[in-house]
Order: sequence, then structure tokens, then C-alpha cells
Amino acid sequence: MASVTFDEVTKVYPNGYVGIRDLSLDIADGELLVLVGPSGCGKSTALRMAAGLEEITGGELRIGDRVVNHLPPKDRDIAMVFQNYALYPHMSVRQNIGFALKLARVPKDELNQRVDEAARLLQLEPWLDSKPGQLSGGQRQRVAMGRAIVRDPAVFLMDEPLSNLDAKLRVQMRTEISNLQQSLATTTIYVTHDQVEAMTMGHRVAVLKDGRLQQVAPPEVLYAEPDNTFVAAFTGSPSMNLVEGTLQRGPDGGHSIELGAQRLELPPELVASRPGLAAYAGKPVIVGIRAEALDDAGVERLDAGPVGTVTGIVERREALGAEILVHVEIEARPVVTDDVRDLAAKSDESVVAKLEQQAAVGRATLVARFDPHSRVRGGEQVTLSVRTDQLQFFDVDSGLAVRGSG
Amino acid sequence: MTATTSTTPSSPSGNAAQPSAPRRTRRGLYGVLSAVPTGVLWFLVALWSLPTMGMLVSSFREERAVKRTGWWTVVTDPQLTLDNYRAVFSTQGTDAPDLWQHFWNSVAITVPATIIPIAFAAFAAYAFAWMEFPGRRTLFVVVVGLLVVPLQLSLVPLLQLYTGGAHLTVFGETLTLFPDLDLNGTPTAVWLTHIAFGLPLAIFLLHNYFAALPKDLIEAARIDGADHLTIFWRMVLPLSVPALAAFAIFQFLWVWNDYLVAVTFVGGARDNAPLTVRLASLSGGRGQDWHLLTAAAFVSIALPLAVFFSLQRYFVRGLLAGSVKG
Repeated sequence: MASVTFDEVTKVYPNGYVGIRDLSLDIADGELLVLVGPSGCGKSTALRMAAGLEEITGGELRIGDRVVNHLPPKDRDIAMVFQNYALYPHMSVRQNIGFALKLARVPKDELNQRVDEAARLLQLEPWLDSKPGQLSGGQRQRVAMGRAIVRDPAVFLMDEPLSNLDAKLRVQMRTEISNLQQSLATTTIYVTHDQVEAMTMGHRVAVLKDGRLQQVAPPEVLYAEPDNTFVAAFTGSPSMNLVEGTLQRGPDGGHSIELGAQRLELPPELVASRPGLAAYAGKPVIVGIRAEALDDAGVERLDAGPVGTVTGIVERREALGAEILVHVEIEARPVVTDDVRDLAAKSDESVVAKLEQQAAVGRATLVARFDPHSRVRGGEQVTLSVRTDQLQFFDVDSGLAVRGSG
Repeated sequence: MTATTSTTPSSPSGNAAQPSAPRRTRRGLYGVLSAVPTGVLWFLVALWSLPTMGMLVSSFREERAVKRTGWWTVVTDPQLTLDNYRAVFSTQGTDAPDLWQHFWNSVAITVPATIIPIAFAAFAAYAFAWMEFPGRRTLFVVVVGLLVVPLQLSLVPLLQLYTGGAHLTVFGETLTLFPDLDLNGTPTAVWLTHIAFGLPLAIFLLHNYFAALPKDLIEAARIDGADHLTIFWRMVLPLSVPALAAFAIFQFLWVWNDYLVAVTFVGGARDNAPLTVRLASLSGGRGQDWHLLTAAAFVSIALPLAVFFSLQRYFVRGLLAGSVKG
């Protein structure tokens, strides 16, 4: 058991490419921290540096109180689970799990006992004498876990351990790994590109982009109060709607947001809780609206709170049963920053093209999570009710959240 | 037959049966056509094995029969004898073929010339594939570049090296680079040469195989606490058996069948001559003794055949199945 500390850890490759820049993270003893980000963001590099598979070119990495920058992997008291499991194909499950103990010259009785215990924990007993080639994907995943837990290490490192499983098994193994980590209370660093996995598993989630840490926070904080537009656009499904508006200060001292020709009155408490916002009066600001802050104004809202309205045209409706995702085009400038462009391009190039086109004519698409009773159809005009107390604000230039005194 | 099936509306899915009729014809034609490559292959196999078959059969026929009729007459007149084999193994007389001795000479040359390069090359290939050290790429390129050194060109220098050693005189001081071991005429000279010429290819082949092993496996072993030697013995070698076996077969066949190197270094010493050299001198001295030559030739191919069939399963087995998901 130990904490892990990244202290301004940097990775510069020989060709000058910066993989990780000044990463500082404190991972508490027993915590499950998820490193998440789009591919190429450096999350795997960070994990491999912790494992000792990648040289650290700057800063300090501590496991417990020890600086481990120059320790080989075997002396770091860590265990790693690889994306493709990396099971030894010529060894039985028993030999796979016991390999590390055997190399550590653990006495045979103890070795067998510990392997049996790990196998029991992971329900692998019937397959102890099988070769990895005879196992299903989920079983191989368990063997990989077994290989890690049998050593009782100070830290687990997991590199996208579920990405090779099919969707249903992934959800099941997600729960299993979470429970296992909970009961073993071993410090764990878990790397994934899947934000759902990150939000559901992590005690805290660290979002990385281009080798830089964007935000590290518990999942609910990350979701509710993203530090910048990248985190806002990356977390949650659907991700946060980001549109450009202008902050106006009324003669009575109240503030409102202008989206095109429409106006949303901001509750005074919201403005009060963000002292920095006042400085934006009369200036453009990025407004972040979560899909659940929007609903059909024609249906009575179940949640109480200050509400404003915005009118738009329904582009598309996706009925999911318990809710309806409705894409509504409104008159407002969409936010097309590099972050947004990058993230959209990951899924589909045509999305980027559409965003640019919309930006040119000043129309933005909002994704709203409607009550299933809503009867709106594609092409219709709809009035959206907006929970104004749930709005987020970001600086147009820096993309940073507007919060404290500016 | 196709006609009957298409016109019989007996099945409840009669509609579906009708369009299936022409398909069945096509399948029949396809069946015939798909058998063609197999047939051609069998024909080629037969054609290629025929001379060996003829040799094998002739080696069991009497001298008179071999000289008068073709080997295929055994089909009508099967008279077989082991006399030829007794003759080639005999040790009587001044110029007795005495193939047993030469057989063992061949073994004494081939075994070290096969095992030693594999042992050396496996270590070298592992280092080139998985260890970081300065100049790794350059060194590897140089080693692989040695593949182009022609054997014929180095025969005379090697002969000098084995009989006189190598000495370098600098500023009046004579440095001995290679001592005079008087190896000429010994099997050692032959297998040393084969090792030297086998190593570049062995390192090249094994390196390519080792380097293609999944990186995660090696890293997982490192995290499990394995050092380079452990990874080499317990991961890389067991997973590379197909490559090791493949190279072993090639090197074995090449050395066993080699004539040039053997005749250069032990050609003068008949007692140390391997089978190939002895066989050549037999066909020179006893060119008219067809029946003996066939038996002797078959003795020389017997071991390579046995080696090939005992190791060939390693070509087929995929040892990597199930290690990582593709």
C-alpha cells in the first residue's frame, strides 16, 4: 500500500516530441485514479513511466516515500495489466499467475497457496491448468488481473484493460475490477480513453490533453464544474453544449445572456457565486449548457429551479425510452475551438465541417435531454426551458472556466 | 441428376429448390475445377520423387539386374537384395567403401555446425532485438551484410588460416591473431567454417522472429521481475521453437549436403572425409558400379529425411496462439 506522486514529471522523446509536460498528481493510498483523454494525449506514457517501462526525463516520481525515477520495474512494487493482457502463451494459467512469485523465489507451498487464492477470488479455479489460448476474452482478462493481484503490490497500473472486450462483458468487468480494487484497497492508476469508464470507475479522474493535465477531480465535480471547454466537451454523453453569447448587465443590476436575438436572465445567486463573471459584462462569453438543463417547455419540469426559455428548430430526435435526446438548432454562434474540433474529428470529420458551416451563419445545435412525454417532431419549432442556475461560463480566448474574481 | 432434382416439386420449398438447380451444376463444375490444383500438385510430387524412388529401388536390386533393365521392372519381376548395402558398409579391401565411418564423419561435422551457430545466434539475435546499446543498428547491419561474403572467395584465406594461423607484423613486432592450430584435414576445420558462414543468416532469421514477438509480453515479464537472461530462457526461446527448428533444419541440410567446404579442408584426408566427399570419390573410382552408388547415395540421404520428418511439425504449429488478442 502506498501513495503515488507525480511531481512535475516530464517526458521528452529523443526527437524532441513532448509526451508529458509537468504532470503533477497526488494519488492517495487506496485510491483509484483514472487517467483519461483522447488517443495521443500521453495517458499511457504517464502510466508506463510509473511502471518503469518509459524513462522519466524530468521531475520526480515517488511511490510511497521512495523516488523511483531510476528503479527498474521489478523494484517498484507495482503490477501492471496490459490492454491485450500479454499472457505468456506457453504457460498454463497457474504458471502465468505464479510467474512473478516464482522469479521472486517464493517457497513452493506459499506460491501455490497464493495462486489458488487469487484464482478463487477471480473464479478461475476450473481453468488453472489451461493455456491462455483455450480461454475466452473475459477469462484472459481475469488471468491478467490474477497475475497482478497475486503479487500483492503497492500499486496496480492498468492500461485500458477492458478495451478488447465486447460491450456487455466490459460493463461486467468494470464492476468486477471496481469491487476488487475496493476490497483489496490497493492504489490503482487506470488508463482509459472511454469517458464513461472513467466517470463510473474513478474515485478521481484526471483528464489529459496533449501531455498536459487539464483537470483532476471526482467524477461528479468534473461533470458539473469543468475547468475548461476541453473537459466540458470531453466528459458526459452527450457532451456539454457550448455556444457563444454576450453577457449583458441590465439597468437594475441583473445580468442576462444574449444568444443571438434571444435572452436568458441569469439568477443573481449564479452571478454572485462567480465573481469573475461581472468583468465580462458587454463582452462575449462561452456558455456551457448540459443536455439535462434543457427540456421541452411544453412539458412540466420535474426539477425546480430558475428557468429561462430559448426557441429553436428540432433537427433530430433520438428516442431512448427513458429519455429523448433532441437536437435543436438555435440562433447563436457555436464554439469552434481547437479542442472542440479535435474531439469532434475523433468521431467524424463531417461533424467538424457542419460545425464550421453553422459557425459561419451563426446557428448552433444544442443537444437536449427531453422528458419522454415530449411530443416534438423533427422540423418543428420548439421552445426549450433552460435551467439557468446550471449554466457554466468559459472565457472565449483561453477556454478556461469563469469562476473566481477575474 | 441435376435435371431430376430441378423438376421434382416434392419438397415443400419447391420455389427455393428451382433456383438452386443451376447453382448445383455450378457447384459440380466448381468441384471438378477445385480438384485441378490438387491434381497438379500430386502430379508434381510424383514427378519430383520419381528419381529418388528409382534410386531407392535400384539400391535393392542385383548388380546384373541394375545394369540390364530399368528399375521399374521390379513391378513385374520383384527380386530384391541387401547385397549392395552390405557392400557399401564393408571394411574389407584397400579401397573398401566403408560408409559407416564416413557417415559418422558427416555426423561429427554436422552436429556442431548446426548446434553451435544456433546457440550463438540466439543470444546475439536477442540482444539485437530487445537490448538497448549504442551502435545496435549499425552492428546489426554489419552482421547481416556479412551474408554477401562469397564462400568461394574465402576458401584459400581460410586454408592458410588453418595451416599457418594469422600473424600481423607491426613495427617489427609480430602479433599472432590466430594461432597455427594445424586444422587442415580435420573435421574441426569444416565445422568451424560452416559455423562462421551460418551465423549471419542465423542471427538475421532469429532476430526477425524475436523482434516480432509481442512487446507487451516482454514488458509484462520485466514487470514480473524477469531480467534479460530470464526473458531469453523462459519467454523468447520457448516461443521461438518454430524459428529455431526451421533454421536447424536448413543448416543441417546445408552442412550435411555440403561438398565444397568439405573437399577443400578434408579432401586430402580420406579417413576424415564426410559422406559427400566419399560418395564423389566412389563415383569417380567406381563409376560403373551403379548398384553400389545408389545404395551409398541412399545412405547419405537417410538421415536428412529422418531429421526433416521429425522436426517438420514445428513448421505447422503456431505457438503464439492465444497470447495477445489480435
